[in-house]
Amino acid sequence: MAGFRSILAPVAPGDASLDAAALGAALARQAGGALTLLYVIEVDRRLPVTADMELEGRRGEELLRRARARAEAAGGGVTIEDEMLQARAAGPAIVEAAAAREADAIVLGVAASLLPGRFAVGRTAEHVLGHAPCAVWIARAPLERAAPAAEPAARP
Amino acid sequence: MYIIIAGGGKVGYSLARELQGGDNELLVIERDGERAAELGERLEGAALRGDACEASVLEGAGVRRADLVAAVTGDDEDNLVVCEIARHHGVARVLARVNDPRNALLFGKRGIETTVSATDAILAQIEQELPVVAVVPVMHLHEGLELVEVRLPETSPAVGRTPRELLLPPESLVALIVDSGGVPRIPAPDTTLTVGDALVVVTRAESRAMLGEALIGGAHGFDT
Repeated sequence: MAGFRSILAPVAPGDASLDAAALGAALARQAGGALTLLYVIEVDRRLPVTADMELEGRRGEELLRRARARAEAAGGGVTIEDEMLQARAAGPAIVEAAAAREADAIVLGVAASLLPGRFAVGRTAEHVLGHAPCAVWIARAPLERAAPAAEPAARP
Repeated sequence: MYIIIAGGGKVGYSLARELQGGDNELLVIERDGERAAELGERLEGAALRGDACEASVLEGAGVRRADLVAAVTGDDEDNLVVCEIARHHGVARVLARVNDPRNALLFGKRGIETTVSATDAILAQIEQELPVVAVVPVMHLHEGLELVEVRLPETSPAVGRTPRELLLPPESLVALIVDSGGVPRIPAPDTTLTVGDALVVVTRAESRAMLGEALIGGAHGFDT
Protein backbone atom coordinates (compact mmCIF):
# COMPACT_ATOMS: atom_id res chain seq x y z
CA MET A 1 0.00 0.00 0.00
CA ALA A 2 3.02 2.24 0.37
CA GLY A 3 2.89 2.85 -3.36
CA PHE A 4 -0.55 4.46 -3.40
CA ARG A 5 0.54 8.06 -3.16
CA SER A 6 -1.90 9.47 -5.65
CA ILE A 7 -5.44 8.26 -5.29
CA LEU A 8 -8.53 9.13 -7.27
CA ALA A 9 -11.96 8.65 -5.74
CA PRO A 10 -14.90 9.28 -8.06
CA VAL A 11 -17.91 10.75 -6.32
CA ALA A 12 -21.50 9.82 -7.07
CA PRO A 13 -24.79 9.94 -5.19
CA GLY A 14 -25.03 7.33 -2.45
CA ASP A 15 -23.16 6.23 0.64
CA ALA A 16 -20.88 3.90 -1.28
CA SER A 17 -18.91 6.72 -2.80
CA LEU A 18 -18.62 8.42 0.59
CA ASP A 19 -17.13 5.18 1.90
CA ALA A 20 -14.79 5.16 -1.08
CA ALA A 21 -13.70 8.72 -0.33
CA ALA A 22 -12.94 7.74 3.26
CA LEU A 23 -11.04 4.64 2.14
CA GLY A 24 -9.11 6.67 -0.40
CA ALA A 25 -8.14 9.22 2.25
CA ALA A 26 -7.00 6.47 4.62
CA LEU A 27 -4.87 4.90 1.90
CA ALA A 28 -3.38 8.25 0.99
CA ARG A 29 -2.58 8.98 4.64
CA GLN A 30 -0.71 5.68 5.00
CA ALA A 31 1.42 6.43 1.97
CA GLY A 32 1.80 10.13 2.70
CA GLY A 33 0.07 10.87 -0.55
CA ALA A 34 -2.87 12.89 -1.80
CA LEU A 35 -6.47 12.22 -2.66
CA THR A 36 -8.45 13.66 -5.54
CA LEU A 37 -12.23 13.58 -5.41
CA LEU A 38 -13.77 13.60 -8.88
CA TYR A 39 -17.35 14.28 -9.87
CA VAL A 40 -18.29 13.69 -13.50
CA ILE A 41 -21.36 15.33 -14.98
CA GLU A 42 -22.66 13.05 -17.72
CA VAL A 43 -23.99 15.29 -20.49
CA ASP A 44 -26.78 13.97 -22.67
CA ARG A 45 -25.88 13.82 -26.37
CA ARG A 46 -28.70 16.20 -27.14
CA LEU A 47 -26.47 18.89 -25.66
CA PRO A 48 -22.88 19.84 -26.43
CA VAL A 49 -20.52 18.34 -23.90
CA THR A 50 -19.57 21.87 -22.86
CA ALA A 51 -23.19 22.90 -22.20
CA ASP A 52 -23.96 24.92 -19.09
CA MET A 53 -25.10 22.32 -16.54
CA GLU A 54 -25.86 24.60 -13.64
CA LEU A 55 -28.16 22.33 -11.68
CA GLU A 56 -25.92 19.30 -12.12
CA GLY A 57 -22.98 21.47 -11.17
CA ARG A 58 -24.61 22.50 -7.91
CA ARG A 59 -25.44 18.90 -7.16
CA GLY A 60 -21.85 17.92 -7.87
CA GLU A 61 -20.54 20.61 -5.55
CA GLU A 62 -22.74 19.33 -2.76
CA LEU A 63 -21.66 15.73 -3.32
CA LEU A 64 -18.00 16.79 -3.39
CA ARG A 65 -18.51 18.75 -0.17
CA ARG A 66 -19.94 15.68 1.58
CA ALA A 67 -17.23 13.43 0.21
CA ARG A 68 -14.54 15.87 1.33
CA ALA A 69 -15.99 15.92 4.85
CA ARG A 70 -15.85 12.12 5.02
CA ALA A 71 -12.37 12.05 3.55
CA GLU A 72 -11.05 14.68 5.95
CA ALA A 73 -12.45 12.75 8.89
CA ALA A 74 -10.67 9.61 7.72
CA GLY A 75 -7.57 11.17 6.26
CA GLY A 76 -6.12 13.04 9.20
CA GLY A 77 -4.54 15.94 7.37
CA VAL A 78 -4.03 14.29 4.02
CA THR A 79 -4.05 16.63 1.02
CA ILE A 80 -7.44 16.53 -0.66
CA GLU A 81 -8.33 18.11 -3.97
CA ASP A 82 -11.60 18.02 -5.80
CA GLU A 83 -12.47 18.32 -9.43
CA MET A 84 -15.63 18.40 -11.47
CA LEU A 85 -15.76 17.80 -15.20
CA GLN A 86 -18.28 17.15 -17.96
CA ALA A 87 -18.19 14.14 -20.23
CA ARG A 88 -20.47 11.87 -22.22
CA ALA A 89 -19.85 8.95 -19.90
CA ALA A 90 -18.31 8.79 -16.44
CA GLY A 91 -16.25 5.63 -17.01
CA PRO A 92 -13.95 6.91 -19.76
CA ALA A 93 -13.69 10.29 -18.00
CA ILE A 94 -12.53 8.64 -14.77
CA VAL A 95 -9.96 6.53 -16.60
CA GLU A 96 -8.71 9.58 -18.47
CA ALA A 97 -8.45 11.61 -15.27
CA ALA A 98 -6.54 8.81 -13.57
CA ALA A 99 -4.10 8.63 -16.47
CA ALA A 100 -3.67 12.41 -16.60
CA ARG A 101 -2.94 12.56 -12.87
CA GLU A 102 -0.79 9.43 -12.99
CA ALA A 103 -2.91 8.06 -10.18
CA ASP A 104 -1.65 4.95 -8.41
CA ALA A 105 -5.15 3.80 -7.59
CA ILE A 106 -8.82 4.51 -8.17
CA VAL A 107 -11.15 3.83 -5.27
CA LEU A 108 -14.64 3.33 -6.55
CA GLY A 109 -17.73 2.96 -4.42
CA VAL A 110 -20.41 0.64 -5.73
CA ALA A 111 -23.85 -0.06 -4.33
CA ALA A 112 -24.66 -3.52 -3.05
CA SER A 113 -26.73 -5.66 -5.36
CA LEU A 114 -30.46 -5.74 -4.73
CA LEU A 115 -30.36 -9.47 -5.27
CA PRO A 116 -28.66 -11.21 -2.31
CA GLY A 117 -25.88 -13.53 -3.39
CA ARG A 118 -25.31 -11.75 -6.65
CA PHE A 119 -22.90 -9.02 -7.52
CA ALA A 120 -23.12 -6.91 -10.60
CA VAL A 121 -21.41 -3.61 -11.27
CA GLY A 122 -22.78 -0.83 -13.41
CA ARG A 123 -21.35 0.39 -16.71
CA THR A 124 -19.09 2.96 -15.05
CA ALA A 125 -17.41 0.49 -12.71
CA GLU A 126 -17.21 -2.07 -15.51
CA HIS A 127 -15.43 0.41 -17.75
CA VAL A 128 -13.04 1.52 -15.03
CA LEU A 129 -12.20 -2.08 -14.10
CA GLY A 130 -11.58 -2.88 -17.72
CA HIS A 131 -9.57 0.17 -18.73
CA ALA A 132 -7.90 1.87 -15.77
CA PRO A 133 -4.12 2.01 -16.11
CA CYS A 134 -3.68 1.83 -12.33
CA ALA A 135 -4.95 -0.30 -9.46
CA VAL A 136 -8.69 -0.21 -8.83
CA TRP A 137 -10.20 -0.67 -5.41
CA ILE A 138 -13.89 -1.39 -5.18
CA ALA A 139 -15.64 -0.27 -2.02
CA ARG A 140 -18.99 -2.00 -1.87
CA ALA A 141 -21.62 -0.71 0.55
CA PRO A 142 -22.63 -3.13 3.28
CA LEU A 143 -25.57 -5.31 2.38
CA GLU A 144 -27.74 -3.99 5.19
CA ARG A 145 -27.50 -0.57 3.62
CA ALA A 146 -28.92 -1.76 0.33
CA ALA A 147 -32.59 -1.35 -0.45
CA PRO A 148 -34.81 -4.29 0.52
CA ALA A 149 -34.57 -7.09 -1.99
CA ALA A 150 -37.44 -7.21 -4.40
CA GLU A 151 -39.09 -10.46 -5.33
CA PRO A 152 -37.05 -11.94 -8.14
CA ALA A 153 -38.79 -11.47 -11.43
CA ALA A 154 -40.13 -14.59 -13.04
CA ARG A 155 -37.94 -15.86 -15.82
CA PRO A 156 -39.50 -15.50 -19.22
CA MET B 1 -18.62 19.87 -36.12
CA TYR B 2 -21.00 17.23 -34.78
CA ILE B 3 -21.24 14.26 -37.14
CA ILE B 4 -23.62 11.35 -36.73
CA ILE B 5 -22.90 8.19 -38.68
CA ALA B 6 -25.75 5.74 -39.01
CA GLY B 7 -24.39 2.24 -39.50
CA GLY B 8 -21.33 0.84 -37.80
CA GLY B 9 -20.16 -1.63 -40.43
CA LYS B 10 -16.81 -1.40 -42.17
CA VAL B 11 -17.77 1.78 -44.00
CA GLY B 12 -19.18 3.48 -40.90
CA TYR B 13 -16.23 2.51 -38.75
CA SER B 14 -13.63 3.59 -41.31
CA LEU B 15 -15.42 6.88 -41.80
CA ALA B 16 -15.58 7.46 -38.05
CA ARG B 17 -11.92 6.63 -37.59
CA GLU B 18 -10.91 9.10 -40.28
CA LEU B 19 -13.16 11.87 -38.99
CA GLN B 20 -12.46 11.44 -35.29
CA GLY B 21 -10.22 13.98 -33.67
CA GLY B 22 -9.66 17.65 -34.15
CA ASP B 23 -12.74 19.72 -33.49
CA ASN B 24 -15.11 17.00 -34.65
CA GLU B 25 -17.55 15.38 -32.29
CA LEU B 26 -18.58 12.05 -33.64
CA LEU B 27 -21.16 9.37 -32.93
CA VAL B 28 -21.76 6.06 -34.67
CA ILE B 29 -25.20 4.51 -34.25
CA GLU B 30 -25.20 0.75 -34.65
CA ARG B 31 -28.13 -1.60 -34.33
CA ASP B 32 -26.18 -4.70 -33.29
CA GLY B 33 -25.34 -4.64 -29.59
CA GLU B 34 -22.07 -6.55 -29.81
CA ARG B 35 -20.83 -4.46 -32.71
CA ALA B 36 -21.87 -1.26 -30.95
CA ALA B 37 -19.88 -2.30 -27.87
CA GLU B 38 -16.87 -3.11 -30.05
CA LEU B 39 -17.12 0.26 -31.77
CA GLY B 40 -17.40 1.96 -28.39
CA GLU B 41 -14.07 0.42 -27.42
CA ARG B 42 -12.39 1.36 -30.69
CA LEU B 43 -13.83 4.87 -30.93
CA GLU B 44 -13.38 6.02 -27.34
CA GLY B 45 -17.03 5.64 -26.50
CA ALA B 46 -18.36 7.40 -29.60
CA ALA B 47 -20.87 4.66 -30.36
CA LEU B 48 -24.51 4.24 -29.51
CA ARG B 49 -26.52 1.06 -29.69
CA GLY B 50 -29.79 1.64 -31.46
CA ASP B 51 -31.73 1.68 -34.69
CA ALA B 52 -31.05 4.97 -36.42
CA CYS B 53 -34.26 4.52 -38.41
CA GLU B 54 -36.16 5.27 -35.21
CA ALA B 55 -36.75 8.96 -34.65
CA SER B 56 -36.35 8.56 -30.88
CA VAL B 57 -32.88 7.07 -31.29
CA LEU B 58 -31.74 9.90 -33.53
CA GLU B 59 -33.25 12.44 -31.16
CA GLY B 60 -31.43 10.86 -28.24
CA ALA B 61 -28.25 11.04 -30.26
CA GLY B 62 -28.72 14.78 -30.54
CA VAL B 63 -29.66 14.92 -34.22
CA ARG B 64 -31.11 18.41 -33.78
CA ARG B 65 -27.66 19.84 -33.19
CA ALA B 66 -25.86 17.66 -35.75
CA ASP B 67 -24.02 19.44 -38.55
CA LEU B 68 -23.89 16.36 -40.72
CA VAL B 69 -25.62 12.99 -40.77
CA ALA B 70 -24.10 10.24 -42.89
CA ALA B 71 -26.30 7.21 -43.45
CA VAL B 72 -23.97 4.41 -44.49
CA THR B 73 -25.75 1.18 -43.63
CA GLY B 74 -25.87 -1.62 -46.15
CA ASP B 75 -29.56 -1.02 -46.70
CA ASP B 76 -30.68 1.77 -49.04
CA GLU B 77 -34.15 1.94 -47.48
CA ASP B 78 -32.67 2.44 -44.02
CA ASN B 79 -30.32 5.10 -45.33
CA LEU B 80 -33.22 6.92 -46.94
CA VAL B 81 -35.24 6.85 -43.71
CA VAL B 82 -32.28 8.10 -41.65
CA CYS B 83 -31.73 10.99 -44.07
CA GLU B 84 -35.44 11.87 -44.05
CA ILE B 85 -35.53 11.99 -40.24
CA ALA B 86 -32.34 14.02 -40.12
CA ARG B 87 -33.69 16.53 -42.61
CA HIS B 88 -36.96 16.71 -40.70
CA HIS B 89 -34.93 17.76 -37.66
CA GLY B 90 -33.22 20.47 -39.63
CA VAL B 91 -29.82 18.88 -40.22
CA ALA B 92 -28.09 21.05 -42.80
CA ARG B 93 -26.18 18.29 -44.54
CA VAL B 94 -27.18 14.69 -45.02
CA LEU B 95 -25.20 12.17 -46.97
CA ALA B 96 -26.30 8.70 -48.00
CA ARG B 97 -24.48 5.61 -49.12
CA VAL B 98 -26.36 4.12 -52.05
CA ASN B 99 -25.71 0.42 -52.39
CA ASP B 100 -27.72 -0.02 -55.56
CA PRO B 101 -26.95 2.80 -58.03
CA ARG B 102 -30.47 2.53 -59.40
CA ASN B 103 -31.71 3.92 -56.08
CA ALA B 104 -29.72 7.14 -56.44
CA LEU B 105 -32.59 8.67 -58.41
CA LEU B 106 -34.97 7.88 -55.57
CA PHE B 107 -32.73 9.69 -53.11
CA GLY B 108 -32.55 12.65 -55.43
CA LYS B 109 -36.34 12.79 -55.72
CA ARG B 110 -36.58 12.89 -51.93
CA GLY B 111 -34.24 15.86 -51.88
CA ILE B 112 -31.18 13.95 -50.74
CA GLU B 113 -28.70 15.18 -53.28
CA THR B 114 -25.45 13.93 -51.80
CA THR B 115 -25.16 10.23 -52.36
CA VAL B 116 -22.15 7.99 -52.62
CA SER B 117 -22.27 4.75 -54.53
CA ALA B 118 -19.33 2.38 -54.32
CA THR B 119 -20.66 0.61 -57.41
CA ASP B 120 -20.68 3.86 -59.35
CA ALA B 121 -17.18 4.69 -58.17
CA ILE B 122 -15.83 1.29 -59.19
CA LEU B 123 -17.59 1.48 -62.54
CA ALA B 124 -16.10 4.92 -63.09
CA GLN B 125 -12.67 3.56 -62.27
CA ILE B 126 -13.15 0.68 -64.70
CA GLU B 127 -14.23 3.10 -67.39
CA GLN B 128 -11.16 5.22 -66.76
CA GLU B 129 -8.90 2.18 -67.02
CA LEU B 130 -10.47 0.67 -70.11
CA PRO B 131 -9.54 2.06 -73.54
CA VAL B 132 -13.10 3.00 -74.46
CA VAL B 133 -14.65 6.32 -75.26
CA ALA B 134 -17.32 7.31 -72.82
CA VAL B 135 -18.74 9.94 -70.57
CA VAL B 136 -17.45 8.78 -67.21
CA PRO B 137 -19.24 10.03 -64.09
CA VAL B 138 -16.74 11.12 -61.48
CA MET B 139 -18.82 12.68 -58.76
CA HIS B 140 -22.43 13.56 -57.96
CA LEU B 141 -22.89 17.21 -57.07
CA HIS B 142 -25.88 19.07 -55.72
CA GLU B 143 -29.16 19.75 -57.52
CA GLY B 144 -28.78 16.96 -60.07
CA LEU B 145 -25.44 18.16 -61.33
CA GLU B 146 -22.50 15.85 -61.69
CA LEU B 147 -18.87 15.92 -62.63
CA VAL B 148 -17.95 13.75 -65.62
CA GLU B 149 -14.79 13.05 -67.54
CA VAL B 150 -14.57 12.69 -71.29
CA ARG B 151 -11.40 11.83 -73.20
CA LEU B 152 -11.49 13.16 -76.76
CA PRO B 153 -11.00 10.47 -79.42
CA GLU B 154 -9.62 11.12 -82.89
CA THR B 155 -13.16 11.28 -84.25
CA SER B 156 -14.27 13.91 -81.75
CA PRO B 157 -16.00 16.93 -83.29
CA ALA B 158 -14.50 19.00 -80.47
CA VAL B 159 -10.91 18.49 -81.61
CA GLY B 160 -9.43 21.68 -83.04
CA ARG B 161 -12.06 23.88 -81.37
CA THR B 162 -11.99 26.00 -78.26
CA PRO B 163 -14.30 25.17 -75.32
CA ARG B 164 -16.38 28.26 -76.14
CA GLU B 165 -17.10 26.90 -79.62
CA LEU B 166 -18.52 23.65 -78.31
CA LEU B 167 -22.25 23.06 -78.45
CA LEU B 168 -22.65 21.70 -74.97
CA PRO B 169 -26.00 20.79 -73.36
CA PRO B 170 -27.61 23.48 -71.18
CA GLU B 171 -26.04 23.99 -67.75
CA SER B 172 -22.85 22.26 -68.83
CA LEU B 173 -19.39 23.69 -68.35
CA VAL B 174 -15.87 22.52 -69.10
CA ALA B 175 -14.14 22.95 -65.76
CA LEU B 176 -10.74 21.45 -66.44
CA ILE B 177 -8.70 20.06 -69.29
CA VAL B 178 -6.04 17.43 -68.67
CA ASP B 179 -3.85 16.93 -71.71
CA SER B 180 -2.51 13.56 -72.87
CA GLY B 181 0.64 14.21 -70.86
CA GLY B 182 -1.38 14.52 -67.68
CA VAL B 183 -0.97 18.28 -67.34
CA PRO B 184 -4.13 20.02 -66.04
CA ARG B 185 -5.20 23.38 -67.49
CA ILE B 186 -8.02 25.77 -66.73
CA PRO B 187 -9.86 26.37 -70.04
CA ALA B 188 -8.96 29.74 -71.56
CA PRO B 189 -10.65 31.48 -74.54
CA ASP B 190 -7.78 30.46 -76.82
CA THR B 191 -7.38 26.89 -75.59
CA THR B 192 -7.59 24.52 -78.53
CA LEU B 193 -8.72 21.00 -77.76
CA THR B 194 -6.61 18.13 -79.06
CA VAL B 195 -6.93 14.38 -79.35
CA GLY B 196 -6.36 12.69 -76.00
CA ASP B 197 -7.42 15.67 -73.90
CA ALA B 198 -9.52 14.64 -70.93
CA LEU B 199 -12.26 17.16 -70.26
CA VAL B 200 -13.72 17.40 -66.79
CA VAL B 201 -17.22 18.74 -67.29
CA VAL B 202 -19.98 19.83 -64.94
CA THR B 203 -23.29 18.77 -66.40
CA ARG B 204 -26.68 17.40 -65.55
CA ALA B 205 -27.07 13.64 -65.25
CA GLU B 206 -29.77 13.60 -67.91
CA SER B 207 -27.49 15.41 -70.35
CA ARG B 208 -24.78 12.75 -70.56
CA ALA B 209 -25.92 11.44 -73.94
CA MET B 210 -26.01 14.95 -75.44
CA LEU B 211 -22.62 15.69 -73.96
CA GLY B 212 -21.28 12.47 -75.46
CA GLU B 213 -22.53 13.54 -78.89
CA ALA B 214 -20.88 16.95 -78.56
CA LEU B 215 -17.53 15.66 -77.37
CA ILE B 216 -17.23 12.13 -78.71
CA GLY B 217 -19.39 12.31 -81.76
CA GLY B 218 -21.96 9.61 -81.16
CA ALA B 219 -24.68 8.62 -78.75
CA HIS B 220 -22.18 7.41 -76.21
CA GLY B 221 -22.97 7.45 -72.58
CA PHE B 222 -22.76 5.63 -69.40
CA ASP B 223 -26.24 4.57 -68.54
CA THR B 224 -26.68 3.97 -64.84
